[in-house]
Amino acid sequence: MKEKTILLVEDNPDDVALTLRALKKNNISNDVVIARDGAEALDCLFGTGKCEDHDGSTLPVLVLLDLKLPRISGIEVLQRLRSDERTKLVPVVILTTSKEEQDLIDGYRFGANSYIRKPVDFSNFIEAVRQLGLYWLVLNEAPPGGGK
Amino acid sequence: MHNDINRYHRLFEDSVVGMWWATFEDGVILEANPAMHRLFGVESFEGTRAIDFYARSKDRERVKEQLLQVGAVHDLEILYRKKDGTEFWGSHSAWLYPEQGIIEGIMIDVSHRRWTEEALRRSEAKYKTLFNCANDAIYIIRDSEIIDCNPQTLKVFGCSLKEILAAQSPIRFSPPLQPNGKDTRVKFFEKIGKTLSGESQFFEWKHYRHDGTPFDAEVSLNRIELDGEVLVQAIVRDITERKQAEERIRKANEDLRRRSAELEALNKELEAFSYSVSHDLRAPLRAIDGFSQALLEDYHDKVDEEGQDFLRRVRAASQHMARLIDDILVLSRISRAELRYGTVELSAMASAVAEELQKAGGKEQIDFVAVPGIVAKGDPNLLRIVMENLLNNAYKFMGSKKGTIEFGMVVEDEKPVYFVRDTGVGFDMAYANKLFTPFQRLHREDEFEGIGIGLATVQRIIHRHGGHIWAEGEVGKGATFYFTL
Repeated sequence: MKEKTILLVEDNPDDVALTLRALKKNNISNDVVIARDGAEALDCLFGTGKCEDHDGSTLPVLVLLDLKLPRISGIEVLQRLRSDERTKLVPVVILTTSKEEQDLIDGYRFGANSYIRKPVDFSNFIEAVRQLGLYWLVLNEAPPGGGK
Repeated sequence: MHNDINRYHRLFEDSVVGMWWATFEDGVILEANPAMHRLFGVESFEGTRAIDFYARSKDRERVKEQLLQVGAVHDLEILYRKKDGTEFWGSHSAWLYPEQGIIEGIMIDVSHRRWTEEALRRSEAKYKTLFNCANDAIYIIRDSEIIDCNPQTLKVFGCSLKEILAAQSPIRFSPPLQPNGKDTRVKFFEKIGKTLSGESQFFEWKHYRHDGTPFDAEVSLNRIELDGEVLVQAIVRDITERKQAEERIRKANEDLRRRSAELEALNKELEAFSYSVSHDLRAPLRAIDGFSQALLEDYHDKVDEEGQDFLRRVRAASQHMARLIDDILVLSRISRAELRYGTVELSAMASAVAEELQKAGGKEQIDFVAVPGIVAKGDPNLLRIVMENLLNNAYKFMGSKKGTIEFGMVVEDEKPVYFVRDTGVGFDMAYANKLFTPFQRLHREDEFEGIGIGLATVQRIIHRHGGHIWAEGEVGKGATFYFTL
């Protein structure tokens, strides 16, 4: 994984295209690695499975995590991430459709850094991505050891 | 001989038996021994006559008649009256000496025996009444056999006295096994044994009627003594109806449990459904809106003005649908949410909400008035939604008119009725019943925006509080929404 990579965990190809478009619109030029489900996301993070080739020494600068995923859910990915020494400090932004109270509670309880509900209005979505890019990729100081 | 007279005199003086002589015709007492004085509580019989001592005058006539006919009476029990008026029973024997016209008599007080016998008779009569008129079957068991029973027993078991006595034992009127699986015969003798040893028994029993139909009974067994014989008295109450009622209640409870389990499952399903609605229905909308926007941005030179208008309409429609979905979710969440009761200062809440709306909507031309100090019990979060919706509507339907919005309370049937009143465009009362139906609107979208879910949500919250909501209005004059909690 290259430096300053964003890991986008999203199973819906439309949402993937729209998120990439929103990033592009905001001139966020970081590499984006896409994981289509929770298992793939874990592979990408820990250098296992189809990501065996990379040694797992570099971590994404930011994880954009959908909650409703096939196989391993977003909340499970978050739990695994937070319980592993290597990945426990990686910033994770939950980017989801749900605003069910339980999802919000679980997201924060298991250590998400932000929780953003994807708006239907694409203009609003672009604005949300702009703000989260500005905050997490520009303003925020990454934890030492992570995101290099 | 002289000694003999002395001896008889002593007997006369010392005897506890009353002895006396009197004239037959007038009943004048000629002589009486001390026992007689004690019996009647007198110092002397001088100047008294026998008639004075009979409690019932006809008794004297009876005695006289019998003396005349047979010359003597023996052990006649007669009610006498003492000098002080108290009565006692005397056993009385007398002989008539017709030549001299004199009666000789003896008497002893048998009151104690008489009173005891009478009390016994009375208590027996009472028992007999109870026995005969009781609503329960009562029968007497000697050595496990029925020897007597009351009329209700025949009714309960549906047979004649002959049949009951022929059946001998209550076991004949019982199934071989009791509902708990115990052998009827074993159980019966165990109960009888315990009763005879002085331990009264009370238990439920399965019985058969004479025709074989089973019934549930409540039995109480007691040890009694009759004529020196130790017997068992059984009281049997037919509790079929009570059992049936109990069974009905049990079934109703079971039904209720099953239904509430079903309801719970349904609720879970609904929860899963709304979760999937919030996730799965919104995702395609995002794609529709997002890619329409992409077309507008990246292909505006290939899509003409009309095409671009269509794309904008696609976007507006998808955003509208997103709002619909959100509002439906709010409505369903309100139906599911647990009520958390607290004290709610409605006046303060209304004022705060009104202030926000006034600022946000630039509606400075409208006056807001709240009657201060109105407090109610309810869920603060949900009642806030009620206030927001009602006041939001009020402000919305004032349009750009000047006017007043009011929050207040009236008392009807000793219960508080809260209201939100505006002087806005109002509504036609003919449509009043449609106000609270989801997605029903009384105004066109281009007149007043909205999707018609606000009042449905309000109504659901009010209903969940056990209250009612209704509205009064007139076109052009305003509307008032009343609610109770």
